[in-house]
Amino acid sequence: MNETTTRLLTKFQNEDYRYAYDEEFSSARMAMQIQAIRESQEMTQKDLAELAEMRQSRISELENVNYSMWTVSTLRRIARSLGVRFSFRFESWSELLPEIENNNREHLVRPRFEKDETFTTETKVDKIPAKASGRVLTSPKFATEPVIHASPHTHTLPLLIGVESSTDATTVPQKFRDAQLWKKESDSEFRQIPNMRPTEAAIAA
Amino acid sequence: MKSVIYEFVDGRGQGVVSNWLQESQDPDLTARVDQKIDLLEGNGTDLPPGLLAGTKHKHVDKLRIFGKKTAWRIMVSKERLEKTFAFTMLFVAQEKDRKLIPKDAFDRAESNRLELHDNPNRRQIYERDND
Repeated sequence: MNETTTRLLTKFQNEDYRYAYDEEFSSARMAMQIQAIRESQEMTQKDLAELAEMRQSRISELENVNYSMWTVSTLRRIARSLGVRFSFRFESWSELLPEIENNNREHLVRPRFEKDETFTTETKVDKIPAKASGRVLTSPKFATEPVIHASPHTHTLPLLIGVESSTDATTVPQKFRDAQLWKKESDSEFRQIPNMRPTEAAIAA
Repeated sequence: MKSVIYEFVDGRGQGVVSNWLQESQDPDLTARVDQKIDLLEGNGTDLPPGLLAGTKHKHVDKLRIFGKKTAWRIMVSKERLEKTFAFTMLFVAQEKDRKLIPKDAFDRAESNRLELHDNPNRRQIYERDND
C-alpha cells in the first residue's frame, strides 16, 4: 500500500471528500486512458477523430484531464474506434484504491480486439484432421470446397471456414454448432481457432 | 518516480495552499485539490494533458481546480530534476468570468517565485494531513 492509498483510507471516511475525489479521478483517468490507448496504437488525434467521426479538437478536449462532460454515446464511439469495450457499472469504494495506485500509462492501455490474446490464440495443425475432412459447410447450403467466411465487420479478422463432421444433411443445425472454426494459412495449411464455434449467424454471413 | 511538491510560505509563516484549504473547511474542494496534486505528483515527467496550463510568466503555470461553485487556479513553478519534477505552489487565485481575483495573481505568483531565489526557506514540503 503506498502513501496515497494510506492517506485516502482515512480521508475517504468523509462522504463529500470521497465523492469529489472520485469524480475528479474518474474524469482524469478516462482522459488519460483515451490518450494511452490511442498512442499505443500509434494513432494521432486526427486519426482517431476520423475513425470516430469527430473533429481533432474534440479529441484533444476529451484527452484533457479537466474535461468532465462525458456522455455514454461519445465514450462508445471512442471505444469502437479504439477497438476496445466501454464498460460502465457500479463498484465498491475498495475497488477504487488499486486503480488510483496504478493510474499510469502501463496500466491504462488495453489491446484492440484484433490484438486481444483471448481471441487470437491459435493451435497450429498441418492439415485439417481426418475427422473434419468431410464436406465443408457453407451457407445456406453445403459445398465440396472449403468456403471462407470473412467477417462482415472487418477484413482484419481471421478468415473462417466451417467444417462439417458428418454428411447427414438432416441434422444441419446441430452440425452448425459442432463445426470447428479454422483460419486458412495457405492452400494446404490451416490453423484451428480453439474454443470457438461458428454461430448460424456467422455461417450465414 | 514521484515528483516533490512544495508550497510557498507566506509572511505569517503559513503555507499558501494548506492555509487556504484549512480556512475553506470544504472537504469537496480539498478532495479536488488533492486529486490534482496526486496527478502532479505521480506522473514523473509524463504529465497528463491539460493538467498544467501556461501563464504570461514563462516559469509560472496554473493548475485548474473546479469547485462546486467556484473555479480556482493554483499557480505553480516547476524545476526539472533527474527523472521527475519539483513543483512549488506559489499562489492561489479565484477565477470568475475568465478574470482572476486578485487581478495581479500571475504577477504575485512570479514575485513569490523570484523571492524563492533569494530565500529558499520561503517554501516547505506540501503535506496533506489525515484528518
